[in-house]
Amino acid sequence: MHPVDHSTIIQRILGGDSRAYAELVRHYQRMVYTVCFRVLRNAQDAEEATQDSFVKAYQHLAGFGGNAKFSTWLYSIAYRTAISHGRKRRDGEGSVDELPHHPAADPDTSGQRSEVRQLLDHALAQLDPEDASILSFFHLEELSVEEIVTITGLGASNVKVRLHRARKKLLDVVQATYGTEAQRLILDHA
Amino acid sequence: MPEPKDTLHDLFQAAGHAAPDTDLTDRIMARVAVTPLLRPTPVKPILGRGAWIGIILLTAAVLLWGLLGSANTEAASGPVSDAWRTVSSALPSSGNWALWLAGLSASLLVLAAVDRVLAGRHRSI
Repeated sequence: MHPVDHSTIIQRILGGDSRAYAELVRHYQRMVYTVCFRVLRNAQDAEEATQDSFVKAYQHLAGFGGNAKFSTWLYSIAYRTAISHGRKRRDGEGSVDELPHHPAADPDTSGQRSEVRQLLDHALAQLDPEDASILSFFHLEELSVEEIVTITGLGASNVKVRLHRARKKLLDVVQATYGTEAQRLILDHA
Repeated sequence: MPEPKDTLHDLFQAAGHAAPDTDLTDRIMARVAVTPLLRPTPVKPILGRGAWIGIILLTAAVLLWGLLGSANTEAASGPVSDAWRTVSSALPSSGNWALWLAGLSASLLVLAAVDRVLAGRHRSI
């Protein structure tokens, strides 16, 4: 991803150029979608939550004070929106097929990457959805515990404990289910 | 930050982000096009700083007047002590009214503080 000058883009949007928002959407949509997918475990729900997150962020852009990083602010909206969608879904529909599923059209999905992603999706499906998101923030986005605290609203010690437990559980699941295959896929991809 | 030689970290990095449909940006922008930007309305405290200082000074003056008035009322005569007698006769006979005034002043101060804290919090959201 190329670097984005957030403050200039935000100033343009606040000045009435709503099309400039597309640049922020393109830059962050994959991570926002990933957060929503980790919580909701369903591609259609994750896309809806992603749309809602970006619309909410757009609506409240004038309230973004710049005290935190834009990405942290956006991920916080996405995480809370996904949790809220998950609650509504549980309250409204009861059981839903939560098998991981991604849309077929993925332009940069090589066979190898797709295989690793499927493996990770299945392994993460064994975890609590919030823990799966926290792991993604930590390992995929390489966010610090402090940033994860800001995004999730959980306490620092709670985040550390959840991270530790989730890592252990995920590692157990990966090793028990995939064993050396996981190691091979990682090494092949590297 | 994760350690460099971390299997899980490598797994996440190898898997990358989940991939949404390719037209997601267009769908988001279609919704954004019909969504108004919300401008945060500036929230001011209900009463300004000057009003609160005025209330506090007035309360302190009444309190002082009451304390001095109650001390001199029996001996003195004149417009101030006459006014004090009128006020004190209208006050309930039970309880210490000076304490009530002190309590009122404290409550006003607490309300002023809460008012300002809430306005400050709204600004920082």
